[in-house]
Amino acid sequence: MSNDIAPQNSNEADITDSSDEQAIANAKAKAELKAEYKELAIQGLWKNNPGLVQLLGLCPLLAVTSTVTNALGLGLATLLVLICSNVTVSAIRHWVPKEIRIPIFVLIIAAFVTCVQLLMNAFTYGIYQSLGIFLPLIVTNCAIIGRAEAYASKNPIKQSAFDGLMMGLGFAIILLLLGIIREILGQGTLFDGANLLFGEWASVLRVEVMQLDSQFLLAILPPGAFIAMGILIALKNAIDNHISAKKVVDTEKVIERVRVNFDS
Amino acid sequence: MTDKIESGQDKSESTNTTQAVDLETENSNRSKSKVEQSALTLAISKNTKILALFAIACTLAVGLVNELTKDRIKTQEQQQLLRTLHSIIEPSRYDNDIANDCIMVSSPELGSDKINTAYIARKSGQAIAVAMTSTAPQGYNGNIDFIMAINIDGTVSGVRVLKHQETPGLGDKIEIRKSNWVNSFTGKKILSDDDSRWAVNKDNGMFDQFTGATITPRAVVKGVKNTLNYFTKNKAMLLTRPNACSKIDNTSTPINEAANEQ
Repeated sequence: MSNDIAPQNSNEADITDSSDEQAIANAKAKAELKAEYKELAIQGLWKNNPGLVQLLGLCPLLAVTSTVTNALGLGLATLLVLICSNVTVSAIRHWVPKEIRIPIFVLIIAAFVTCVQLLMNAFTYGIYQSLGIFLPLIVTNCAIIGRAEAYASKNPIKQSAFDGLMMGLGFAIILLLLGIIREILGQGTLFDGANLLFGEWASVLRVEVMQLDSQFLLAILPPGAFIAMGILIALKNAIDNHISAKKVVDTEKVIERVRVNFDS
Repeated sequence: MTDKIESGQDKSESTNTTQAVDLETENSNRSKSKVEQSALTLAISKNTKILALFAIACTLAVGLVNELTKDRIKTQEQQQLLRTLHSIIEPSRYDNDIANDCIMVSSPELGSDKINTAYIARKSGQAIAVAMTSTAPQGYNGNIDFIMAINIDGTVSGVRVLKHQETPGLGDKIEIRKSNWVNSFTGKKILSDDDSRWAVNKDNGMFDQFTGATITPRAVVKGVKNTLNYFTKNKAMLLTRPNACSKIDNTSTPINEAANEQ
């Protein structure tokens, strides 16, 4: 009896083993995917932020951030183009020969930018007017072709879309921060002219933060943007330094503990 | 993009010519090199085709979006133009389709050599006011484009700045969004050719300058004065001209220009 049962048991064990293995493999793949998404988010929003670290697309970044509304308009437009171009580049990555990939990427990006420009012209006319030349200039934003070349052309669609979203968000957040700083310092308001972007209901968003007798010129003009940008970068570096200093202390502690163990 | 495609074609042509040269070389080398050449030509022509396909696809996509948004963009521009015109001519004062009733004007007195548009407001067929685009050439930072409405009796009905590059915070008070200074023209009339009241306070005129910016208002006052002078002199000639903006030929340029109000 026991002999009979034994192989059966082992068989069952085999089955459970293989299903377990599959489950483990699945879980592993899922965990890897999750880790990749997390890494993408961290890279886009912080470690490799297109605005603060890569310093890409500085021209629109500095030129249109004089108000929050403009910053938001350009941020959203860039985000949209980045996601669309990443998805498309990723979708066609098997059919594009290596030698002509750059012209094709440029074509795709230019097509998307033109579409976004036409759509903004049709639906958010006011913001289209105030962004002016910087809307078509999204084409030349290196952050977009950079992501197409470095990430989307080598990775599946979902991850590429997520990468586009995170990089775009990282860029938009910096634009917004600069817009907030410059608008408060320069005009003492927030969301001035938001109705141009979102329609008439948004006029209620306008906040008078402080009453200024005369505008603070430096904040409105491009030099103010450079200074604010410099302060933001310095802030980011300071935070990074702080974190790494903390880490060093932690690892030192660990080493100490190990030494104590050896001694004892 | 066409550059890329053309250069691709050029390459394939040049390989063809080298092939032709190869024909004259030794027989043993010939077949071998021919195989190599044709492989290269094949790759190039394949890439060219792919690139062309993408160019066509992208153009189609842009064309489609353009087709879908065309009408809406047109109405947006038209609305913007009407908003600008309404702000300088009271809408109840006229009953014609003002955006489609205009003449083209060009004169050095209007500050530049470009063609300006003048929209004519009529009440039951009788012209009551003209809204004319014009340029003040002596701004602090280049030309200041504006539109001004002049009543038929020569008084100013309203002025709006359409485009300028004056210093933000100082000179940009000529915009209606920033300050209502530009309304100080409303109702003013020019008495003689060199009416000394048409200047900023600093030059003993009747218009305020801004703190920290005299050049900008000075330029605008001068531009408005010149345009007004031009109108009063040429009124009879201007009003008899045929309509240049009838609905059939869509003149998008004047609409674009006047819709640029900042």
